[in-house]
Amino acid sequence: MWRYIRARVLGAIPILLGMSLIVFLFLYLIPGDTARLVAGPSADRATVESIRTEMGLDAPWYTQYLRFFSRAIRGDLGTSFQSRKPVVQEIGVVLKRTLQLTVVVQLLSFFIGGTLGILSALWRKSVLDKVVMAFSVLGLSLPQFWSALLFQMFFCARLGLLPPSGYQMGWDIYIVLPALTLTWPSAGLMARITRVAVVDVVGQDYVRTARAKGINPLKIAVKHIARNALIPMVTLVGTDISRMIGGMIMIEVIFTWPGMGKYVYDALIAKDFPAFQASTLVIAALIIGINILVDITYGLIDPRISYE
Amino acid sequence: MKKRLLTWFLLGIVLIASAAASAEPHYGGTFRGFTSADPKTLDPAALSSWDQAVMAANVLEGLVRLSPSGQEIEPGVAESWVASEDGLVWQFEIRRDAKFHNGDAVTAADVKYSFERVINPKTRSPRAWIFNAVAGVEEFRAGEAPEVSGIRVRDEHLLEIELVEALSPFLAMLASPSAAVVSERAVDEYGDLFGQNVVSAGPFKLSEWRQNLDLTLDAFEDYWAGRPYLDHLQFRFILDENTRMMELMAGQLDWAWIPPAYYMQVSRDPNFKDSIRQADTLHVGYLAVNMEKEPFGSNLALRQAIRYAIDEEAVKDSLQGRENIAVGPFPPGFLGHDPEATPYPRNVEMAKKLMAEAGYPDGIDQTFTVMCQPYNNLIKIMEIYQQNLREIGIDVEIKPTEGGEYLSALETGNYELAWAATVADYADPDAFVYPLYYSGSIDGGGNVARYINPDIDRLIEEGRLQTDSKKRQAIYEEIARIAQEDLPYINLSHNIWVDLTSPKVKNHVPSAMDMHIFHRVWVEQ
Repeated sequence: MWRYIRARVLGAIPILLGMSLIVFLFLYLIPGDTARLVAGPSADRATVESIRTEMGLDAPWYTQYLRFFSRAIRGDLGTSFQSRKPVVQEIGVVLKRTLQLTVVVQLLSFFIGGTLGILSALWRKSVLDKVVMAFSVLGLSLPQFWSALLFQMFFCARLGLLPPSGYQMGWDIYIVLPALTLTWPSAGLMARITRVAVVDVVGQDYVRTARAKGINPLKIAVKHIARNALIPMVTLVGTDISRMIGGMIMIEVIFTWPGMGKYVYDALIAKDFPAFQASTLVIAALIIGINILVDITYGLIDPRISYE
Repeated sequence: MKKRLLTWFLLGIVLIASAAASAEPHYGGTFRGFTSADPKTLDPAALSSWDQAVMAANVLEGLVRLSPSGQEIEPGVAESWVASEDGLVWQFEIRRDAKFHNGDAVTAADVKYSFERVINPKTRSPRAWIFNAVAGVEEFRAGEAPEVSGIRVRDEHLLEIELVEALSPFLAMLASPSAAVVSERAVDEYGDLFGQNVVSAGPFKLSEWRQNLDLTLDAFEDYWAGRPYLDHLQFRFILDENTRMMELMAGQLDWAWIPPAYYMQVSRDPNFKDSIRQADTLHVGYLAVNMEKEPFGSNLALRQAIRYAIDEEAVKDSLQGRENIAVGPFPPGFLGHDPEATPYPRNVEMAKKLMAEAGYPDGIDQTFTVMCQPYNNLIKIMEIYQQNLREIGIDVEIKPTEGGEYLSALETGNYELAWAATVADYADPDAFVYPLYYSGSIDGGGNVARYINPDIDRLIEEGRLQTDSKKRQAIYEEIARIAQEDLPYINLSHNIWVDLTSPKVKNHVPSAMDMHIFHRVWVEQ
């Protein structure tokens, strides 16, 4: 298995390289003059040009990219154009906050959504099933900013139970509302996926056989049903985490939870090359890492899959 | 009877005393304010955005500073100054008790260091241009001189600045946070991280800065004008304007800008209605006409027709009266504003007549794009204008454009019509007209209409040289008159800033320059 992991990690390197070039070109080509954005609208032309020269932005694009590349492989991802601080430091801070929220939402979605999905499948067409499915559809269809404002108005303005927004340590009361808003659609989706997987398994012959043999239904549930449902569940967690790591900018703005989403967006608008490139590289590396983890988890769940 | 009288008398005294006591400012407490985004750096040499200006004046201070209302220039680190007859040589007396946040005394040499740091091209300061008029700057920038010859340290507390030509707005420019004094020792100590660890001489000093989250300032005990009443001044970075109001109403925030949607509710709420404050900001919003493009560029009657068609009263109503209708480039109360100037009231008949005069009696058979920034509130206003123009036969399409592209298009003249706004960089009418109307400001200086008028150029130059304020008033009124006749910028509105503070906040004065100062603000415990 370790050979498999190593091969995957090595395979990631050309992906990251290619991606960094594409990202650079993209940012370079979109409209907007970085030097002017750094200088602000009231600076005169001479100041803008002086800034442009000092930042090396007057060099041709391949020179700029090579400069970035040669420093990056030595571990220096540069300093942000906006704050002049090392981007690695800044990303570390915002990434931690995004990860805190992501972990909480994924754990809740996995267990709540998974359990509800299994129960819905086992008691198909019951009231429980219908309620869970309706709840899940609602969560997936409502626009997030709408449900966010709804929760804010209800829990904060009306009941005064929770703070409307903010971030202190991450693992405290401020995480409740953003997590609630994000868990609703995520758990909803998890419930649906799990339900389908379980329904599929329950219909299989070996389950019918086990039941006919009189094996404890709980044992059946755990040994056969849950394990087989796990594969699509783990897949969903993988894709969901990947989506959330890139940042959920709307939630971040409404709940003032300053994470990767806002950071990347600010870097894009300001055409802050070092910040934008470093953050996209970090996100890509994390997503690749998560995919590798998911693949390995498959191997642990399903004995038919082997990486030898 | 006597005993009764005495009791009432004493009671009366106690009541009066306690009333007076509660009106007395007291020290202590935290003010929880906001700005819309992390300023990222408070280094005077790196300042360029609104989010920085809003709080910078509380930490940074230079030779002079602005009053809380933003309308007067007050002594800062310099306790007095004098200009020579010809306006070329300024002398500043640095006060003896001015100190840096790290305890060092502020001297004339520190001011020279700070200015040269901003002027130096290696520092990449967006505001280096405020020193363009100082003698010796060109040689210093070109590397031909090791220092700026026009900035001279006469002695430890006397700084002399020589200008290449007289510049009336110079003092107002020096009140900018970009001209603040910084400690050389701290710059050397922090290097690249100085922006997040600034050491200057303002009433508050940097305390805790959590990236993208909030910034806390502590009272500077040794501030020359006395330490602030507040112990702590906090700015939370909250982008969403609704979230801010919710936070304030939940008691978690002490200050919020009131979005139009909340104004009715708040002005009727007994808890909040007495805590609403407003300021006429040094702002002008306008439709910029690209004078190099047909048909608007060369056809005055067309531009005037547009102005007569526009119903700015309707826009003002939609904002619940929170703007002043523009009769020129200058907001009311500002030097150069002429309260007698005739506005262009909405007059569709007049507009149609002008259209005919312009040669388009049946309207123009073409669709024009009006570029604007992608803010929801703004787009709603643009739709009102679109409707107005349609009535006289001008068909426009609204094109919301994002920051970088928007600035580029304005700068290079790559647009037909655009809604834009100018906020004064310094408290002087020159801050409006020099960027907007001066021919030398085309291609990056702010003259986005690409307007060339030798008469206005001459007046603008005169305004910069003239030191007598009555004569300046006359000059700027004349500039406004020509501007309103020619309409390269169809001036529409001046923003009114409206904010709300929580009931425990006292003595908050919102700034006309968006540079809110909390030195004399206090909170009831």
